[in-house]
Amino acid sequence: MIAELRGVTKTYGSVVALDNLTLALEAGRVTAILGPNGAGKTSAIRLLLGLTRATRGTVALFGTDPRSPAARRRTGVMLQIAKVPETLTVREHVHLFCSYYPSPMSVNAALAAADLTAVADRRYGNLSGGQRQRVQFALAICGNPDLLFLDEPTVGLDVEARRGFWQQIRGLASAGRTIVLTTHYLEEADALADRIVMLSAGSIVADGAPHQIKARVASRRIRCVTVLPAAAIEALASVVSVRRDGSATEITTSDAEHVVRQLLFRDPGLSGLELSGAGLEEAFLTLTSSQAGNEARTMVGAGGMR
Amino acid sequence: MNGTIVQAAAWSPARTYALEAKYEFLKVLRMPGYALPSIAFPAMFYLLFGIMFGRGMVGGVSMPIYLIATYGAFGVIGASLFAFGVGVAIERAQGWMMLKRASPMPPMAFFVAKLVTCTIFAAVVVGVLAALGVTLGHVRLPSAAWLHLGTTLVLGAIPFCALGLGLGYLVGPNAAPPIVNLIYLPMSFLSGLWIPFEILPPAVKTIAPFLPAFHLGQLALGAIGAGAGAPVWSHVAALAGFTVIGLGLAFWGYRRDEG
Amino acid sequence: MHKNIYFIIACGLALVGAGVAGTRTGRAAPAAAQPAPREFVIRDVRVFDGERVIPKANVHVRDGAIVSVGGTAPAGIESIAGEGRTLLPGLIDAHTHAFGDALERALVFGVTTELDMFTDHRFAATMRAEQQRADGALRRADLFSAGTLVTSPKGHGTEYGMQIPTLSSAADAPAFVDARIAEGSDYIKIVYDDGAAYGMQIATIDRAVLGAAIDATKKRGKLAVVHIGSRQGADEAIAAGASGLVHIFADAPANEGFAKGVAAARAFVTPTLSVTESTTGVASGATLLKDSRLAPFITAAERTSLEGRFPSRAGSKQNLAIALAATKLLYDAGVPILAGTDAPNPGTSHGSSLHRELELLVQAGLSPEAALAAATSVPARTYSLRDRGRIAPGLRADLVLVGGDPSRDITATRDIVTVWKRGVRLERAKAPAATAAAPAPTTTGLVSDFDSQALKRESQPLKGESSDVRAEFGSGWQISTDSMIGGKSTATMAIVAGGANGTRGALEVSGTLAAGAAYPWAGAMFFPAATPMAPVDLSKFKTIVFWARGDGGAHQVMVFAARLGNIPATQPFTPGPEWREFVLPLASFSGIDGSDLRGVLFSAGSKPGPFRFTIDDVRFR
Repeated sequence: MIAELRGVTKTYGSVVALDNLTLALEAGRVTAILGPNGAGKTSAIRLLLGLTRATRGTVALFGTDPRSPAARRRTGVMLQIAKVPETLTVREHVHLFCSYYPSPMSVNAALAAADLTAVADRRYGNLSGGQRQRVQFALAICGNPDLLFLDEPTVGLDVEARRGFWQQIRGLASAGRTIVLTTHYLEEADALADRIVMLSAGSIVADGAPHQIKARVASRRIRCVTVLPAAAIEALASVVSVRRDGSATEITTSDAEHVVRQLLFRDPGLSGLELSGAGLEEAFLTLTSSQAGNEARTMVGAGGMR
Repeated sequence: MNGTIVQAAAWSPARTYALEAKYEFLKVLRMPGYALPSIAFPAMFYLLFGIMFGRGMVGGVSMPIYLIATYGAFGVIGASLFAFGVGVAIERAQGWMMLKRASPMPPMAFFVAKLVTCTIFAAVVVGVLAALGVTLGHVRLPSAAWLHLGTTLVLGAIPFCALGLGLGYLVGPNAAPPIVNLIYLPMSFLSGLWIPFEILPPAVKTIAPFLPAFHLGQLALGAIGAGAGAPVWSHVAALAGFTVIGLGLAFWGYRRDEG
Repeated sequence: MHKNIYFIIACGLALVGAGVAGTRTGRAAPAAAQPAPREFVIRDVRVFDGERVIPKANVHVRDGAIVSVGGTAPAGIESIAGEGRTLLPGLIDAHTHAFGDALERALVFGVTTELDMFTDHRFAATMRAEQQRADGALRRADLFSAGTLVTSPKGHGTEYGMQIPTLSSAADAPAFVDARIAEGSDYIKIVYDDGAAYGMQIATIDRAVLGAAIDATKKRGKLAVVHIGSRQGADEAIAAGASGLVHIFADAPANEGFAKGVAAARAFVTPTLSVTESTTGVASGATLLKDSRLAPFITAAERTSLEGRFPSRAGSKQNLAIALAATKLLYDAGVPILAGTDAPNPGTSHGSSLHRELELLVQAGLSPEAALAAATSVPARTYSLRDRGRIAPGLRADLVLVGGDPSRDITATRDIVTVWKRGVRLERAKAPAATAAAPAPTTTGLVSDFDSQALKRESQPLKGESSDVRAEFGSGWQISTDSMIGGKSTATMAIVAGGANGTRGALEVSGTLAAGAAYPWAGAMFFPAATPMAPVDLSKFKTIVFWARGDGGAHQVMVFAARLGNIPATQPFTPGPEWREFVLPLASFSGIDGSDLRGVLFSAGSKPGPFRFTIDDVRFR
């Protein structure tokens, strides 16, 4: 076990961010922590990184206080921060961070790994958004850390950049590093994680491999072309959500057979019928619906890809 | 992706401190918004008031000599307040501090680096003023006095680094520059760093001893024999007090950041 | 944790409080070696604050600065009675030539600042450096100086024996001015005087050079003050843009047009009526010697100077009435008038003469208050001496307390009760009673024949040690060089074999004369009295006779007399390769009559380099 939160409660004034949370992270796996805003993801990460202190409970990183230099020297971090000093060059930033670690990569290797060799001597202020993200990634990996924290690492990247990033993560994982990432891209969690931890309102609502979580929620997805209005479909029993996708309609339901029969009954002209197992989206919605459901639905309904 | 794992060339804390200081200095040097005003402002003031219009005697020495001490103090204080006050406030708020805290960087390296940078700028300010004074103001001082003045000013940056630090932990990044200016400029004026203390109206003179800039100004003037005559220990005590207050506030703010 | 932080901040506040308290109560440790306390109040005194009279006030002084004028006097500090007395700002003499002990003498008479118009720039630099220290120059007047004046080759200023650079062309003016400023000149003085007004002919710079020098000076932000000698010179100097004139003319009358012109040019004038009076053949300082308020403080050397006057020349047009009238016209036209004496020229002396100058300004028609202002706030403002010249909070505590009311009777300034420099009271010592010259301790007049002492005794005795080279009377021979005034010349003396006329021994004097000192000298000196430099009456002898041979250089014999002060009278001698007798009449040494001789010095001439000569059989005859 490489990191642990045990019985941790974190409050900011009267707001309870984490409520008696216990979470253990194992070495060598990719763990994704999911949850809507306010679920406690940020607090959990900050506690594990020693950036803040628990109101109650204990936090351990590599078996010691997360603030100890020994622990930090085995950790690489990529945070969702806006402002890296703009007047230093990429190379200078990486060089400095390399110097913090006892056995880092060479500066050039780190630059190559983050695909920054071409802009190595450019000042941070003159980089594009994607290049900046890669610099922060380079700072996280340049120390050859055993444990990598990545906080929302692909926000703002285009699809291609994101897929490229996923490849790197998979490469790091297969080399045996432990990776903890937070994300609200469900697709990302699905693609990368060995284990998904879902947080909602300061507690864990689901914890397991992606397929396990999806299976917990026996919901299916129906896709068809129909003239039925969304409102009519929503009124059917056991329909979780209805969404139009161009000319097609997507319906999520826990009882797919019943809904299909109802659709066919009301719209004999229905076509393009597809059935599939529920995605992580649906699991997410279901699992979090009892508490922050509205918020979650809004998030997903806006296309799922924020 | 297999990075070549390199045993860092004799990884040692000393190297980290050195690199941290080097890059902090480079970073600030490349910021025209900091580097230039820190040095150009006092130099400009000195050129204007010390050399072009600075005639006559004050405190027993000529104006150009007197104002080297006071504008030197002015410059040193500015360099410190902006590096620590504004710099820290901004870096805190934008998360850079957070990343550095999460990294294995030794926390002291960060502050030492800022202190070194600040000290270098202070030394440059003093050097530029001295050069202007000697070449254009015909200032002549015994080398012992130059040494005394330089050491006093450079060491005198420390209380203002501490005060700036305290400020940087208390205010947000948008408020920091105006607040620092609001403190820095009136304080310098009321402390007799622009217009010589001897010539300030009596009401202002009673306020001055409560301001740290006054005490640094008097120590610098004492080095060239033009002080107002109060004992050295009183100024040192006041500056030590301000240093402690600044560090206390910074410490409190740091704890508050940690939640 | 919070408790800790409150504690830390409380500690910090306590330290700050201690610092503030310490600053405001001033020095906590006792001042080292300061006999008088640094805080006092002068109570119920009439104050002339530099501009006007305040009938009665308390003046509070602390640590060298005036704290307040008027207001209640704080209790518990030294109190000085001011009832019936007047407090003046320390007087400023706006035209002097300072060297030697001039500044110490000036302070005795209440002059706390002198504006020198030509002296050795190294001397000025030393004075300046010393007075910039917080406790410097407490027993002398402060000095500001023009350093070396600007004059033409062979012009006025070159006749004093000091090697100075001169300006010959307008093109060289900027570099010349720069060099003076680099030497430390606080302002630049330019000589523009062909001597015609005094019946002389002196080389002088021309109008073009004058204009160039003034321009170059003003471009560098310094005052350009001009020595003129005639009405015409004054007109031309003002037209050329002079910041001020440091003499008034006395050869041709001024008129209102002239005065308005000076006012329009925003120039100032330092009339130096004292020395002008001396150029008319009157000993300007003679009346000071009769004033019982001043006389006890005037030394013998100062007496000689105050009694002096310039020789009247045929062709001299100098008329004091013209100078006085011109001064009044200028004052009425609003031209700033500054009080300056041109001490220590004949008829004047540092410090005491300023009181005569004030009297002459009133004689010219200025009110006593205007005269007092001319010696206080006006020169301070003109020369940007912002920290003095007035009695006001924050300014330096250079103060003079006099009995009576000089705003009614200007001569009341001579009744000095106390002088403070930087808040420290000066111990005003009365002048030592002139030592009566001892009667001649010799009948033969023989000083030394160097025959009875062992040969080849190298001797370089330091001051105070007895010399190894003996004389028949007096206290023997000693080496004397310009190292006393910061020069680098060296000399040794030795008794050698082979004297003149086949006698056994002679005194060889050798060494190196180094350039650099204002007045270089090096050689061997004997004192006729048992105490070195005490006066002896040798007036029954008419000549100094000695034999000499040497390196062929032009050397000199210097005679010191009490009436001359520290400056000797000199006569040259050139020793050739063969022994020769030299006979120098005492009368040929200007200014002495032999009745108060203090010492005779055989010195290298003025050419720098190694020198060697041998003397024998020195005697008075």
